[in-house]
Amino acid sequence: MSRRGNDEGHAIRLPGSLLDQIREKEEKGDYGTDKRYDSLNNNKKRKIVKKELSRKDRRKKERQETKLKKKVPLKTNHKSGGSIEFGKVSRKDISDDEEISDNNVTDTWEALKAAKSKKQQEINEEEEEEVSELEAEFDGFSDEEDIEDEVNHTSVEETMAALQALKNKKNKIPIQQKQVNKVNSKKGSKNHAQVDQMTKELLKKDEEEIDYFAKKLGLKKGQKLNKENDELDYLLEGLDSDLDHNSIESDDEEKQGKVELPWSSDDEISDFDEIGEDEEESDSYLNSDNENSSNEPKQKPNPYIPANSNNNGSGKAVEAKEKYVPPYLRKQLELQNSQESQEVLNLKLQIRGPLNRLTEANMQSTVSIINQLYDSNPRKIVNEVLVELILLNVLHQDKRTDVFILSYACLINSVYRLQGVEFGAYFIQELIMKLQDFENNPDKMKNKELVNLISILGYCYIFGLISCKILYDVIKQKLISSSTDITELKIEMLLQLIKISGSQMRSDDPSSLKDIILNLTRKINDQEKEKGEKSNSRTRYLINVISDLRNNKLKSGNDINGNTSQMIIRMKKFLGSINHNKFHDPIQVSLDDIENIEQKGKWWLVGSSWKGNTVNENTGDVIKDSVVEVNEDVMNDILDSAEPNWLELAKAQRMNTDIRRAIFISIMSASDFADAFEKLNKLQLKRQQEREIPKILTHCVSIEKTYNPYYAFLAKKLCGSHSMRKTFQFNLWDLIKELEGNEDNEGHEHDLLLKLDRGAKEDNEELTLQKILNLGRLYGVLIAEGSLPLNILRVVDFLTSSADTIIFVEILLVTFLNQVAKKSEISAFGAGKSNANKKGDLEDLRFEDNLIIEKIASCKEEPLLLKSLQYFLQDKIKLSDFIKNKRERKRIEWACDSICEVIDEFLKA
Amino acid sequence: MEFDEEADANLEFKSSKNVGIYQTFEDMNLKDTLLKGIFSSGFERPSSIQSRAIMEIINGKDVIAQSQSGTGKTATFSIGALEVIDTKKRDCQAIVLSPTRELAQQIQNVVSSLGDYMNVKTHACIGGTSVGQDIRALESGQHIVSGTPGRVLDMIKRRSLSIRHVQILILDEADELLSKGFKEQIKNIYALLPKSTQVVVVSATLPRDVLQITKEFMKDPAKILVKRDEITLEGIKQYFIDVSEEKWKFDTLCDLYDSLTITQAVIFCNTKKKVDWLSDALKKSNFTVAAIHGDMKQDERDKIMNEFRLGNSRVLISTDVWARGIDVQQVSLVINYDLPFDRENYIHRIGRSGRFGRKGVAINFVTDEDKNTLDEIQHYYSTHIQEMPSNLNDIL
Repeated sequence: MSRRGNDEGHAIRLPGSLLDQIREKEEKGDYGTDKRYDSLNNNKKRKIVKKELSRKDRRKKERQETKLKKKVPLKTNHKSGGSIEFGKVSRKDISDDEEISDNNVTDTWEALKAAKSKKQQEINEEEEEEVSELEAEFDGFSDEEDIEDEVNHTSVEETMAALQALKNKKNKIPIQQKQVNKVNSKKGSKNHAQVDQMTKELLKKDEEEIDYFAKKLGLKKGQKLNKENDELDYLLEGLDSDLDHNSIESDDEEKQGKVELPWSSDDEISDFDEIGEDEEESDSYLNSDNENSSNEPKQKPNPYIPANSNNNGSGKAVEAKEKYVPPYLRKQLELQNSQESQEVLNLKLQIRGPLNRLTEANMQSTVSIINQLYDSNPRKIVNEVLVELILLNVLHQDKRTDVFILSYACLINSVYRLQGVEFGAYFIQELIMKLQDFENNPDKMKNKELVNLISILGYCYIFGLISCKILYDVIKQKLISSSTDITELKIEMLLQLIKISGSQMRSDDPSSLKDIILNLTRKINDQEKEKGEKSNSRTRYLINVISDLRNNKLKSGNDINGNTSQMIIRMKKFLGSINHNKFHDPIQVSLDDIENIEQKGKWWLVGSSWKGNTVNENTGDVIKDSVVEVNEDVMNDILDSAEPNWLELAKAQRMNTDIRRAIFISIMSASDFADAFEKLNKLQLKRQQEREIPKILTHCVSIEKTYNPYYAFLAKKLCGSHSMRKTFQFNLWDLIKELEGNEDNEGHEHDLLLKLDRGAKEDNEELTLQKILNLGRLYGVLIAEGSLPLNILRVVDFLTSSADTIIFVEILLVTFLNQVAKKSEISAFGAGKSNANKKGDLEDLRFEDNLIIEKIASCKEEPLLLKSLQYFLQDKIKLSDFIKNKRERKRIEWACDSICEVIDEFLKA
Repeated sequence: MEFDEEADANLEFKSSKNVGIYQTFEDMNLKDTLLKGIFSSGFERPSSIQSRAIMEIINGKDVIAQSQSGTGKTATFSIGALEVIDTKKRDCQAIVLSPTRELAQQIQNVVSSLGDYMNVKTHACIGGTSVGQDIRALESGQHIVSGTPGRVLDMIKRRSLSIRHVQILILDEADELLSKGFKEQIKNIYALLPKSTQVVVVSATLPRDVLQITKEFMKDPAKILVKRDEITLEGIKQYFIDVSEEKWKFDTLCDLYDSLTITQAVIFCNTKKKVDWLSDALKKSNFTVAAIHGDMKQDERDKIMNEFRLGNSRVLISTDVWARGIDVQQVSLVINYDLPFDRENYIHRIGRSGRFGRKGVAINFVTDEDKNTLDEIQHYYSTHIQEMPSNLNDIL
């Protein structure tokens, strides 16, 4: 029989039998003698009759039959005193002294509890004795009925115990309670004055019995049992909560005992059926009620209130129980009831299926199924469930095939690309936590589980979910950390990791690899020395593989088999097709970050609190934006090999990204311009990133105290490429605009460096002049050398420009003319040119026009520029203060004149 | 190559006396280069058969090795042969014969990957390829030749394959090779080889008559035999689900997939029509399915099985025809979509997951009509098949 069926059977049958008794007595006119009872009685009678008819017809008949037979044997009971009393009590004690019955009932209850909490064995033994006695006496009757007929004060405990032994233990107490109540109610209808000696005797007997059981339980006098922890609560399982209801209220509501029977109306019965269905729930209600009962002040209900109203009252009480659960219990309840909410369970159902089906072939559809779940469920819960289930699938005690792990890694990355960093970060976090678990108690996880874990970590890296940083961290701190020995398992994990992702790790960060190899060999050597034996060949094989990896000798066919590597390529293609554009970059989390989540928070989640080094965080972000495709090795090399002061210098110059710092250091630390050029080339910057070079170069020029021709040479070299030329040109224009102080520029101003420079300018006039001077010369040289055309000056308004611009252009032109003129000099009469120069034989200087015409030619299409130049050259340059010596002056004068002539000709034409 | 150590440890061996057991590859004193190749192929420690047979081969004894597929037989003789040969000489020193071209090709792959660091020359000498190429390849000198008997014999007769220096002849799947049409060819090849040639016979099964034949050309062989594969239901948790009617089976199956964590599963149906129907139905609900039945050719079946082994499909649907032949390591779950007509087949179906002492779970779908059959099965195997518990997560 199912448990539930059992419950129902009892819930219905027992009260029925009780009511049978009552009814029988009523029929026989037992209550008839009591006048006061009449009014109540009528009400109840109706109720009872109705209920009986609707519910227990068959059983009623049975009972009635047996009852009649039993009348006589009852009298011969060895507790005949009690039996006799029963008759009296039922007739007379209806309105007994409240206090006495109060005690009586509570005592009884305690006794019940005490009995209940006895070891089942004992109870069984003891009560079986009694039962057999009873059986002997009531030959021919079922045990159940014996007990029912035994309803009387004196034998409450025995009966109770017998019931427990006889029946399925669970459902006895309410009967008992009912019986007690009923007795009480009958007593309650009796007169005060009629509390006779018999009652006192009964009380005494009760007490004796309580003592007896208490002794058996090893309780001291007056000490109460802990009701909650008696571990017999299961007895109450599946019972309607009427039990405890009574336990609270029976003290006060003897009168209503009968009326109160919860099954007195059909509605309530169904209520209790429901509760019976949900056993755990009702269980917790029981607990809460026990708690309440001890805390709540007792209510003293009026015993004379009509039955109906009481009925309602009790109904309410039941309802109230369902409504209110104290908060501290609610937590318990949640724990008890279900580890997971319905939502999570549903989600698990939805996710598990697709995960179980996941293969390469249905990757696309699986990803979209899972992605759709994010639309209809809270992201956090989906994340949690998904990660939990994936790990359940992957972290298996048997080694999983590469194909298997690969497809899960691909799924993870797909979801990461679609859902963003929260999922990715959570997954890594969980994975690392698992790894830590292992570190803390190595026995907990099976070997292969860890190998699987490492595999998925490796594949995630291959697909670009995580950066090599965390892998290196894992190797350094977990696998070959200095504190622990290198075990076979760790070697296996390391081998697996290298097999999967070795070659990519090498290309991402060779220097870390080098460190690891050094560490590993040192450690293994140490270990060998310690143990005095050679490490096994597997370890040596590992070292071989790793050094092969370092030397790039690892065969591609060797690390993973062909099938897998082809699959990786296909999966990568698939991932590429997930074009969400947002989350393509590896999460740059380090092991340290994850381990310190508690302290520092998660910087990789936008908007989460983060207590770490904010400077680092910034750069981290920028790196992600700009660096990913750069040849990181070279960049890191440059950064690493830089003396610390270079890095600091770079920071002092507000080089705020790795790229900028790398460029800056390349420029500043080079031995000559060719070296610098080479270094910059090695960075293999992308077009966008290349633009940084001129910016930084001009920045460097402008911060130099004195003009350094090195930059001009470098710039000239750089101008070999068109994009560089253009960038220099735009930089010049930006500079001119800036010098103009035109506020409109603000919007176009996108370069942080220039902004910073301007800030500096405002601070320091001298710095500006120095900058103008240096940059003027730089651009002068560039134009003179033909790296930039002269016509880029077309943006300059020579007439109305600000003083700064005029100065700048003046310097630029002076440098330009000087340079050009110098090149155009013709050595007079061949020999002794240098001589003549040195002696300053200015009269002998001769110039050629070719070069200058060439330069001017670029401006041919700019008549306005030509005219302005003409004016500017004549008016300003010739008299410029920036001309240092006579020779220069001579050159410039010549240059100005010849330019003006050329311009004249152009204009005429 | 996947390998389950735990299961392997449970294998019982009946071997000739004086067969040593070497627990690690290092103990075998192999060449360093070979050892490296072994590790890079993913072997960690020798399997039972390997720990026994390899050294016997190296010691130059004739060896008979029998154990089920998946216990590492191919690697056993490959390692043995690789250790025996001298790569400095350019002569053919070992010949491996196998009944099918694919197998010969596969063996050649294994040998060359194990000998990755050894500078070993291997050649697959199989029918259906250009004879000219074979001749050229063989004349350039190969240390180990893996081939099918017909082509190898042909090459020897053409004197393209020089056999003067052959030290070791290996017969893989010897039961096949020594029966049918191969027998004569094998004998011919053996007759041509130098008298001192060591013979190694490897097979999953060795019927008595085959053993008899081996006596003809083997001298006092070291025998390493795994005790007959006794499939038991031990260690396999068996459950049934009362689906009452046929039409509920499919939904039940899908529900199982939503409730359990399943890596790979084999589903058995009784008819090939059912197999086709079920695989279509499952494909429609987004499963990747492999299905095999009796109408398929051997190579087709091998291909599908290989896909399944690699994990490209996670569900294999099959009829009883292949129940005895399916052996996939990672299968933890067998579902009897239909109870087998023949109760003998029940153990063969479920035995899959329980191979090598491996634990497994079997779930039977039982309709109302099937109830008697289920009782019969329980009675026949005197086993108890439980009703599927509601707490599904605990069973796998």
